[in-house]
Amino acid sequence: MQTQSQPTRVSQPSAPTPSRRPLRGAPGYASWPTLAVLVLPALVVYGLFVIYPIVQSLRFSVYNWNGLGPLTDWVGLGNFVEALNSPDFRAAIFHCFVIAVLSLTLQLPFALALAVLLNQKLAGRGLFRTMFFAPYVLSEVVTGVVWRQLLRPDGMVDRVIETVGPLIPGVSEAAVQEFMRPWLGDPGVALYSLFFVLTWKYFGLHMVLLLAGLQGIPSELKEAAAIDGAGPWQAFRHVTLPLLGPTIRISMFLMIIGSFHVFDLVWVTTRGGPVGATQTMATYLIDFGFGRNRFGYGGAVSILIFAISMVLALFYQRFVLRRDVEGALT
Amino acid sequence: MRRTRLTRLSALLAVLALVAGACGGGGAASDTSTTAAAEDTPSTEAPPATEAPPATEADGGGDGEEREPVTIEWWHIQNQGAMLELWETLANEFTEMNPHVTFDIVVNENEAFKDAIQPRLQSNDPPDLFQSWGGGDLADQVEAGLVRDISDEVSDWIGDLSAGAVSLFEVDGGLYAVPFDLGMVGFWYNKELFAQAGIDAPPTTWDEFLDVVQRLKDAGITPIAVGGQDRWPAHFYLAYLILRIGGQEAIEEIAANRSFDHPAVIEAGNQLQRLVELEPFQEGFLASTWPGPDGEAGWIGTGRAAISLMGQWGPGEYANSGGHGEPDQLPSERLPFEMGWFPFPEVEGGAGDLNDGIGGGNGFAVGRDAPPEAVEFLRYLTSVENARRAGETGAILPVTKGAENSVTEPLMVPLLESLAQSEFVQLYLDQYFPAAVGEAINDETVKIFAGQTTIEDAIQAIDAAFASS
Repeated sequence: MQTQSQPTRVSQPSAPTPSRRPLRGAPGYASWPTLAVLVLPALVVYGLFVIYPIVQSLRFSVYNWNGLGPLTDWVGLGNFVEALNSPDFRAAIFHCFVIAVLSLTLQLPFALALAVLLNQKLAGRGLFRTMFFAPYVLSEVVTGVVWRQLLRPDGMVDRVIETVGPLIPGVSEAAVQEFMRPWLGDPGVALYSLFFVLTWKYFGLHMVLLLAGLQGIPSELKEAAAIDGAGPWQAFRHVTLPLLGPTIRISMFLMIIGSFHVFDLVWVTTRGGPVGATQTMATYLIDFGFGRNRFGYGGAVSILIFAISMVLALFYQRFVLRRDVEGALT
Repeated sequence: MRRTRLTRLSALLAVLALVAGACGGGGAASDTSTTAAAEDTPSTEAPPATEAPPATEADGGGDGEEREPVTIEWWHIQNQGAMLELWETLANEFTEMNPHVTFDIVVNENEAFKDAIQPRLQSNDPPDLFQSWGGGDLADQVEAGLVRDISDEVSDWIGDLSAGAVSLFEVDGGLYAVPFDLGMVGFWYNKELFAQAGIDAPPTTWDEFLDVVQRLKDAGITPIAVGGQDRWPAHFYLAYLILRIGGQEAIEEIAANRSFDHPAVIEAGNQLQRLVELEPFQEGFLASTWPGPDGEAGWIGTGRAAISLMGQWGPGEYANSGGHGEPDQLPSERLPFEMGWFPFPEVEGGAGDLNDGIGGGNGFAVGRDAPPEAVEFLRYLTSVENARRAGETGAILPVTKGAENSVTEPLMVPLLESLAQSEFVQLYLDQYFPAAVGEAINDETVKIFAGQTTIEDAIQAIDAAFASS
């Protein structure tokens, strides 16, 4: 995190720095054989660890296979049909969408608000930035273990609610008791508890991304808006927000993709339970594929997850990120 | 300019995330990072070995005792307490007697073991000795040629072990593992909490049991702890009800028809429903595992719940998870309250017998390429003296004849009595059937516990798993 040295960094770009970048198209530009030699290792690694596994899971996905012995029981698209008909898999997809939508509607505005707040001159702002970013640095497993402890029945969270709840005017002791539940053990709320933990872990990342975006907005524009008589809200709405657009869209993209791949945290806190209430696509894959010695089925599920993520990513690229890709500023 | 650079960086990150996702989708589940691998290297005490080897090899091996050095890779799940120490001691002793043998011991917790062993088996490289429960998993391993038929290698001494226990590891007439433990699932209960609720005697019928549950609840005590997240602890209830209602025949018919659509299952579901309606389980039981402070064992071990339906390994884990005493003490010495055991009660009008059990054994399967020394080691491990040492820990019910009475743990006495009278012990249903079916049974039972399904829908889901396996 930037601390005191930051003002000098901001002032730097005004100095011309033309000669840092090597010139393109110069005579020394790499020739084909050189390129081939340089690219080959990466291609081999890519082929071996990305292409090959994908091809393999495609192959497995049309067999009923317990992971041992040869592939003999060919079932065609049976595994795909079974997955798409499985209420558990559908629920897993739905849970991913819930997390994605909640992330976009709650986590993103929250991160944005904090970013805007911490972009102001504020005592201890470096400390706050570090504090908010810290959870992101923790490993997901550690986060999961810690929050599992905090959210357990009679754990810290319960104690805090019990103590603080009745102090709120108009809230009776009975209402607090009514509100209490096993946060990770109640199928009705477990997914939201999990979303809370995910937010706790990831809002810092998005806050920092947005903060970086905010700092890229020249202060002259805000000054100009102020001179034109714009209030703080108008300046934010019509100057800051549009210029922050590209960053916000990337943040959204990361949130959506993250929601579809969330695994570690779920696996550590709930293993997809209680009774499948927090099953995500990835935990479903492990539980119903590998956990039950159904590797063919697991292959089919992994292909479906890949397809779903790919389609979403392409749509997002095509319709949301297009302007950014073309180099628009807003 | 900084803005576009940031965008580019973020786009790169996004692409990386996508690629990582793709890899994750395609790769195998090599989840071994969670493995708590405890490597045993007794070879540090092997200076004698350095004297001879090159010489003997050169002069044609005059000494018949001299053998090629071998390493036995041994995967077990006795990851805590006295049994962990005992296995290590036995390995060290075996190395002392056979200096050419070293051990590579990999210790996993139960659930972690199931995750970790799979990639090894899949890569066609089974460990020399590994934990086995028999049943559907072992049959799969036999079919894939991963384990070795050791019937001939052990014919001299396998008769020293209980035939019932050995039979759990037979597949199509071959023997693929050697048992070291056989027990039965039953109700462990906290006698002090029963007394508080004014219950003098354990129930012997299902109706009495439901009454006991209600009385515990009325006394403000959590009647039952169950590990709903691990799911298999819940399946014991359904399995036992099927056994008590339909008897041995019901289970044989289910297996033969490959279908749970059986009157005994439906009735078992209805009886289970009566229990669930009493809301007898601990707070947040759906998020509880079996071990751990918030697990089933922790609730029992800390005296917060009264009853747990569990196998012979229960008391040791209650003490561990409750945080009581030292691992080398007997569970009954460690636990700060008195516990008792009673068999799963009879269901009125049911065909099953009170002493028939749902149970199972632990054994070590022998990998296809295991050296003969691995089998010799199993002989050592299950010899009467060593089986007695295992029995003395109170964590194992040894199956070697003559070692039964080594179990000095008083908690085990009623269990052993019941086991001795039982004419039929059914392997845990989730192990007995192929993994996909077993897990479906576990899933559906927990859904019944959570009030999210009916027995009819559960039967459908389990039968779908039969169809797919």
